[in-house]
Amino acid sequence: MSRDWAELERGLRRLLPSRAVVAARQELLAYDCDGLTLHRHQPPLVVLPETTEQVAAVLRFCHENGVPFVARGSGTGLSGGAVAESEALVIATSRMRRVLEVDLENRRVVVQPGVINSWVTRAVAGDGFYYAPDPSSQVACSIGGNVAENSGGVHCLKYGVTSNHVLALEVVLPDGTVTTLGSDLDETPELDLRGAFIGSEGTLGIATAITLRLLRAPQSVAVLMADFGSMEAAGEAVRRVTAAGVLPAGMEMMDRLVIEAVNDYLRGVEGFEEYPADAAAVLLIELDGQEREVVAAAELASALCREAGARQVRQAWQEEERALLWKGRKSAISALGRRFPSYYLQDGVVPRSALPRVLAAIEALSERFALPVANVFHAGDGNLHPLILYRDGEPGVRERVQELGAEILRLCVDAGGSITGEHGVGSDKRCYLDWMYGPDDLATMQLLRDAFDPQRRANPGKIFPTPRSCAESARRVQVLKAEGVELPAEAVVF
Amino acid sequence: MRPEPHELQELVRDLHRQATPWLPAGSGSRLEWGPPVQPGPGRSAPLALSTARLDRIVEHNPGDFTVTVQTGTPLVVLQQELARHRQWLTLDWPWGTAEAPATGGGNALGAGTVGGLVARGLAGGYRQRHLGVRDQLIGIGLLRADGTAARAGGKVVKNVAGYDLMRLLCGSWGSLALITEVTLRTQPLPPQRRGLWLHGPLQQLQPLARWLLGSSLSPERIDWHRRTLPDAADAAGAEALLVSLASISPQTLEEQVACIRQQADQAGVRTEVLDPERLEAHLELGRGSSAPRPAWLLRAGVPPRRTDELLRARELDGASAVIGAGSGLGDIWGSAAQLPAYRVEALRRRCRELGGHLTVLRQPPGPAATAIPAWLDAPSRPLIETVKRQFDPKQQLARGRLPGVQPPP
Repeated sequence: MSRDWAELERGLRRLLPSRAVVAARQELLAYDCDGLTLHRHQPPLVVLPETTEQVAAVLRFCHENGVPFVARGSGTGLSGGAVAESEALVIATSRMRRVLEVDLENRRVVVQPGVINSWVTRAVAGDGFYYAPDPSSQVACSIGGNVAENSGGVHCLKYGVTSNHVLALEVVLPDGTVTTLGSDLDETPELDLRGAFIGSEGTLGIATAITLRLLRAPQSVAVLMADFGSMEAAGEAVRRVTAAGVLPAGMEMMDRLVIEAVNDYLRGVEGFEEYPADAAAVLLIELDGQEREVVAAAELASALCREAGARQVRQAWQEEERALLWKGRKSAISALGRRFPSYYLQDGVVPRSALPRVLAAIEALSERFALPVANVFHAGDGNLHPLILYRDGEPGVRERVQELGAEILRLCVDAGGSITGEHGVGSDKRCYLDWMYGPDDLATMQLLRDAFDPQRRANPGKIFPTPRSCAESARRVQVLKAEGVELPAEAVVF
Repeated sequence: MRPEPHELQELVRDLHRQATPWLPAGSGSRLEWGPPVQPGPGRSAPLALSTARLDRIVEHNPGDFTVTVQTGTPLVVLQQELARHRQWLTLDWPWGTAEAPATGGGNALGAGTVGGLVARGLAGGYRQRHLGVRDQLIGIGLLRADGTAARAGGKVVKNVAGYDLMRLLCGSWGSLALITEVTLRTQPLPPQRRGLWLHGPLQQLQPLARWLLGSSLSPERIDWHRRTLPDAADAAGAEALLVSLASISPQTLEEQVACIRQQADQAGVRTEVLDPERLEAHLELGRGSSAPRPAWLLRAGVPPRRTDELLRARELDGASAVIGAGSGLGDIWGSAAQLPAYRVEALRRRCRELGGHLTVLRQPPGPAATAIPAWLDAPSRPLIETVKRQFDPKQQLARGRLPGVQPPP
């Protein structure tokens, strides 16, 4: 349906200061994609509200005029979630960057959604506190975006993801109503709509004030780095460490392709010690807590790594030393980017015990598609981040890349896992969601959506498979119907 | 009713066709907690549909630290199975579990079912280290009021595909669906565990609690106990802190114990070190073992820093309480004589003034008109009611019991 965006712009200008309305073509370009640059769609109009009241006024206006909208934080998402694919108003929170309240006595902080993840820790670090979820984009991504995606990070193995750290949300519903979900306490006698809202990818409304739990900074932190001759041995080390009752803050693994790329990339950088050239896997384990506990855990974990076949285990205790051990992992994507100009970063999850099997299968797929796949992953929770490497410009390569990406996700689902551990479904993976869930499961999720957004104007088209965009799903429905299977009415929409 | 698993869906569909109200139930050990459920026309008690026959541990993957279990499984059976693999579900037994169920000889029903624990969503002191019930839940299977079976989440510890219906259902008190299966995270059993019972005057215990919370030690629990011992006096000495420590190393555990003891000595607080067995005995006190089935059982919550004020509140006189020092959440109980209704009302007002809330889990029987509402309206009440209508359009499930909506008198 075509809308009169000039007319809508005039209406919005009556509600907002003029600097809060973006309509110039060149300026709109900045909003045409998120961190997933494969999909680009320039929105017709963007607004930049600064307060809850302004967000509410905009959403009431959208409600009265039947306008769909897409909420957007910093635009660092990796699943296309913050992009207006069909004509919709983009509501960016990048001017909602105030820390509203710091309450160290009760270990919580209230922020506007545009506040950058790492600013939260920066605001309270001087007092010995921090905010635990730390996605790798934490210097750029916003807390509002973290809430929408239920973001994780390297340390979520021990400390959990965003939903474990959000106590309350002030939310503007798609009809412009402002409400509060949850409270300052860990438990509130009400349906946990706060928990249901987190990770809903902008399809239930817009969070305008977010109460976060703070943690006490650990007394001591140690990083272990172990290299292995085979991925199986590295996997065994992970198994032994966790089974022994050691709960590391994070466990990160890199495979041979990453190791080679990192060695090339960091060769000659002061203090960087190259990984052994013949290593098949490098495992980083970060331990934190009370000093003596960390010492005991580091000793135990080192011994278990050696028992599993680690050839060398290094320990770092001082901040600079730790940063050097982490440097390879943190440079992994840049290092691969130097070798291969383009990459497609996937995000799948498998049960930890299935890791070796799935990694071997990914390797076989990589050969079949003649596309290199590098693996960096959160080994502790089975969250894989395969990077499919390619040279753009090769004819048909993008289709091949997408197809390989889908095959890898298929492997994850078949192994009992998930198509996304932390990047969200967005537009990128909505056609795979029905690999995990049947029509009744998806229809049940839509019940929640219909309670919040009966007209489905909030981030339309995201998460759930739609027939228009998911030919495969649509075909399957047709086949099922042709076979005489009775589908619930809702199934038609997928 | 205790239908067999294969009968369940058809039964629920039948009830839906007839628009019969019913109450999702586990073993029925705590069915009377919370707001009264309206029985529906022509009935004196609500029709409870029990998951007791859904009692299978579907899949325990020790290497992945996950377990999938049918929700009628007694909690004690699940913990015993996990313990065989040196793992556990990091949650307390629910209040009222009198005997030590994990050591055998306990009454399996005393702790209720896994489904009951999830549906109430109330966590105990282990929250200090391990967070709450909803934080352990990674997958769910449910049966909607119309008999539709659905799932959400999955079997991996990290998963953001689709809406988080696990959280929606956790703590929903049976109001949205019958939870039939859950997948939970498990953890290794700590190889070493010690307890500390710290007792003395409240004004000396309070700085010690603050020190503990701010220290680099990471106890599994730091619980305030008030009058939980059978012979506890009302005056000074009625309060204590129960601390539980866990570690992979006996040596560091002893160091932590010594560190706390030293701090306690300086504060003039008496310390009793508890081996795991005695620790368990003290945990039982915190679940009300000295006063089974009290007239009043309340769930209180205040911002953590206001816990001191709650403990000092005159409204608490005569009552027993266990409150997490780090969470501000806990249970309060007492007889009708110890806690007159007006004082419960006052206690609720006090909790609200302090920025928290009070839920009435049990209250003395009496005319409905004089009953204290189990919970009050949440700010999002209209939205909660909309969600309810979506999931249960004929208002069949746990009629009158919807968290965040003040029950009608």
